[in-house]
Amino acid sequence: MTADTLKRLGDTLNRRQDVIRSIQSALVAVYLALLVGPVLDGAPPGLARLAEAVFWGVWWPGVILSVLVFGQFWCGLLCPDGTVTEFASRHGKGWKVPAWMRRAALPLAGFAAITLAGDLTGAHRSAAGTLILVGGASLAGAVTGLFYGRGKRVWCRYLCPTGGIFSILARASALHYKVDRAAWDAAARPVPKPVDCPPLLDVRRLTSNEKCNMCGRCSGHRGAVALAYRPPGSEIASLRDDEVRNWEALGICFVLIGLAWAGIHGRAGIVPGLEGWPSVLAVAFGLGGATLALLVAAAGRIRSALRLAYGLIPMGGMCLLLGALEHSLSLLAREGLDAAPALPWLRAGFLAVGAIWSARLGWHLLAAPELPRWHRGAGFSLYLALLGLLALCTQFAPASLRG
Amino acid sequence: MALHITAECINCDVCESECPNTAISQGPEIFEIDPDLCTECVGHYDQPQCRQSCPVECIFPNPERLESPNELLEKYRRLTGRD
Repeated sequence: MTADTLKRLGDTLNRRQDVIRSIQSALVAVYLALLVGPVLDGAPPGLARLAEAVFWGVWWPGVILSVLVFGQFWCGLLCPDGTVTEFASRHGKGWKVPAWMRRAALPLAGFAAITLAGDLTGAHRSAAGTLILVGGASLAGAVTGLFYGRGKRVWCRYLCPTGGIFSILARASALHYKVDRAAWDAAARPVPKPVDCPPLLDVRRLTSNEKCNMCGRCSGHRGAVALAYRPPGSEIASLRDDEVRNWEALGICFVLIGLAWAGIHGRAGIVPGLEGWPSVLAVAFGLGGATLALLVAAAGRIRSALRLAYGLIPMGGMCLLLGALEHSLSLLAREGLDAAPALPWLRAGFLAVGAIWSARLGWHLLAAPELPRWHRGAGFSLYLALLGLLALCTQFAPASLRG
Repeated sequence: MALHITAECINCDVCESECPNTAISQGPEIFEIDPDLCTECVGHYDQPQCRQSCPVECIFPNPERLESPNELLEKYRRLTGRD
């Protein structure tokens, strides 16, 4: 796609919000039918299987991959939770967002909590569990919208747990809304209308895809905003030390990598004598701790190690995706299609892509002009060893294919 | 008194176009209110529009610009040329 095509695509998204709203409304209806229908008395038996296939077989892995590659278009264009919270916010109390709600680490902490709860209770393998887990998030989004913001998506920006992990993955994506700061500032005043950004971002200084919902409503604002391509991972490769957030870097190590792996593979048999949530937590902290230790060894100092952690986003994203795909394969197996033989190949393929992508980012992040070249080379060798460890852990992890 | 914006500002851009006096503009870090132009919306509205629209609590009376309602009304007349 050319730059002009992308710009026109962004402008179209902005111009045709009426169509997008219709699609969103239809999706909310389908979503509610699949969420609530299977738990109702007299529901056809096939509905629960269809719902599980849609939610966990297609939606979850599909959205992880799309966010990693293209950014959070799902959130801004299709997500039922976003639609519901914004609708509620248009008709709600309009309270101001309190300071406690604006703590940046909240969504990731929420993701860790629901991952742990979901994996331990097997919630995503039953209709009632899915209703509680997924529907609970939707309800929380609706309630948040009912009280906070005026026609905005306070839930998506500050609280959504899946948004917490998507915000990390979207840093690697190839598409973003590029803002020409000079054009923005040169626009005539008074400005006829504010930029329409549902998650209330600082669009004028937008350089990160982190919280951008990619809804397109800012496209063309002040003649300064346009959907654009960027080399995948370039936002991470150019990350400065002062842009690193400690909690986010630790979240990459302990949640995106440690907890995500442990939740899928670490229920039992990894740590002798431990089962269930103690096993998951022990494995999560063990893998996350080993990741952090190798990052420190590779980078030489804590601050640089935390920056280097962002380089693991593609690898962590691929591991998360593979965990989701295992559920997809188990659903296929339940339908009589034995896809288990494909798992090692899927793992090898996605891990190779993640490792190469992360290695490239790591090489950039380890650049330090004040240090000798051998230092960068030695650090990069350790970083590669870490990528190899993560790849081996996932490639040879016990399969969790269950019908 | 005129209003001012604190560091709690999230730069969401909602307030600037709401100001009937064009007193709000983007500063180097956050949005800023020109106290010489701000009348707290006296003369225009019952309530300061920026405070109404702001999604966080970051717009407060400027303690360095103490002005009575009458002084704000006088400022409004001076700025708009209306009685």
